[in-house]
Amino acid sequence: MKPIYILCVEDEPEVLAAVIRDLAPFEEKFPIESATTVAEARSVVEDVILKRGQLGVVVCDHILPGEDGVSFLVRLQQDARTAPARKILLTAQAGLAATIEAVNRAGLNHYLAKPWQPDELRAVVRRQLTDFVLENEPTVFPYFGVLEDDRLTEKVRRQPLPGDE
Amino acid sequence: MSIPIRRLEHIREALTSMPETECVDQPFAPGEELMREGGTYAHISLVIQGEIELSKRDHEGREHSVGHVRPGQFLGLLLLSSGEPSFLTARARTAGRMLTMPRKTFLLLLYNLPGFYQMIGPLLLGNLVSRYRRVVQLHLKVAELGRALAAEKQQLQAAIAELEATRNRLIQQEKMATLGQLTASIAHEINNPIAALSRAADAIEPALLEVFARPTDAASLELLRQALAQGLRQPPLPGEVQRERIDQLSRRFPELPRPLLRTLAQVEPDALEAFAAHVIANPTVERKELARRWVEMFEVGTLTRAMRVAAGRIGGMVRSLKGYSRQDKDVVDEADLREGLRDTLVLFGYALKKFQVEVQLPEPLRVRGRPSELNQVWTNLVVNACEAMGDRGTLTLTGGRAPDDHVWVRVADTGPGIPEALRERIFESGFSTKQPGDPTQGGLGLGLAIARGIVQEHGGSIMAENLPAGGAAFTVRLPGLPA
Repeated sequence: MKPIYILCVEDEPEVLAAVIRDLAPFEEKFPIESATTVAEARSVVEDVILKRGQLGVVVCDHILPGEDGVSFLVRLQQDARTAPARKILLTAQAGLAATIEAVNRAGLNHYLAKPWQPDELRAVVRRQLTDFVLENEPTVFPYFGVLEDDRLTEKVRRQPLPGDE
Repeated sequence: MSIPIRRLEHIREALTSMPETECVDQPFAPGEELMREGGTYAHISLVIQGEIELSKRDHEGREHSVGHVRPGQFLGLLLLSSGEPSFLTARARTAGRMLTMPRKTFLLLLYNLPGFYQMIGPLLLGNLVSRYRRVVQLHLKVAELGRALAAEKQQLQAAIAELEATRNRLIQQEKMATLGQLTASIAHEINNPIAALSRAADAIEPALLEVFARPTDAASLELLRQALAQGLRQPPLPGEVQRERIDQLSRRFPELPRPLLRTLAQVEPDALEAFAAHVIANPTVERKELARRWVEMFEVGTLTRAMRVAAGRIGGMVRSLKGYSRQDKDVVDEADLREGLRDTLVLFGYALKKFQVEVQLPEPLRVRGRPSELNQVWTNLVVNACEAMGDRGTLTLTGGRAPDDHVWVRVADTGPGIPEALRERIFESGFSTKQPGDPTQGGLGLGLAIARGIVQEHGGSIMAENLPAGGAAFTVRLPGLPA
């Protein structure tokens, strides 16, 4: 089973640390990687995540030094290997135009405003991870206890048991 | 007042039949000049047919039509008694004829020939009455025109005042638009440290509760103190270094969970070795417990450090904000332009994030002026440069003193430059290359006009040029103070 990664992209180290800290409960099953620029994020995806596993969820700031977060998400969407990843924008300021682009071209799954509530961030990531697992993983058993269990159960319930016709 | 032609004919016949009147029946053609202003004439004429136009020159030599002489009216009546030079010019408008006689004879006959007076007297009186009427009408007309002129003048003044108010309103609106952009940037700049601050504050409490859940002996306390000091000292590591350390640690301690490895990866290698030798290598239950508390304490340190950094960021922001919008708007003060430039860059940090920013301001740029107004100039130039560059580019801010004691500041971008055809117009009010009505674009196209106004009020100048390497540069020159 290839590990499913969470990638956090945020240019301010203190904020990045806070995001990672809030998401630590997921790390038991979903290793977290981080980057402070889009360039670094690309190389992390290429050299770490895709080599060792797959990209499950990206939590990305919009305003970053150099290339912005939305254009990074658009590129992820255009790459077949990262297109299935769930995309979350966590930002204090993204104009309407950038947000529309993120929705239309990057398949943005969720928009969270800074400052965020840790429970809300975890709930959003949990839902997106659950979606990813339900859509992409052949078996959901390893993820009970970390994700939305009732939705995992629902999937298990609908699967034909061995011997069912 | 019109005289029946028949009566005029009768008078003509009567007068020409009297040789003592010395009457001449004189025809005239259209356009013929019958009398010239300033000339002297010894005749008086009674118009029988046709029309004559009277005109007079004003003091600038322009000729104005002042009336007409029609059949039954006299030409040269004004000169009748005085014999002065002609007051008017008379020119025939149509073909016609008039009865002309010497002035002296006319006067002689008027007084001495009863039949003559009977014919001419009513005509003369009628002429004088109609001319007097005309004078009265003209007086009325002058009064009316005067009133109309005064009303028009008032309307004009009201229109000018209205225009002035509209202009001020537009300038105010433009300033508000810039302020909006500034506020968005500040909100973003402050939201980030606030997020870090509040999230760190949330995390500290459970960490401390964990650390002090148990009684702690002196040796362990010393160890925890060191952990705190480590955390306080340790700035966040570059991503690559951290990843590498996590990988190393995960090979070394495969049983430790990743969040813990991530924290340990931040510990300085020396301290980590000491910690490992002392605690991890000795995995009794108590030691494991102590290791957990050590890591928590280290986290408290890094969280506290993060809070200090965040608070410092907010403090710096507020300082810049205070410097930027000094309330003493009308007070002329001595200032180093570099302070206002730095405040502007700090406040626009968010908008500038996607660009490279290079600042070369090696020497003090001291001027006398209104600092908050000059900040508006830098803001408008910076906003303008950012909008020109779009998504990426380099903003270069340079400044210095010229040999003639002027100081200069240049804001250069790597955008598309200013089309040569528009270079003269970009400082005009309302000139904008932006799409009208696009609220995301902000301004009204007054930014550069406002900037120029402020610079000129400070006795300076502003100039736009395209750079050989591409992009545009705006250079502001202001009278400097001795350094």
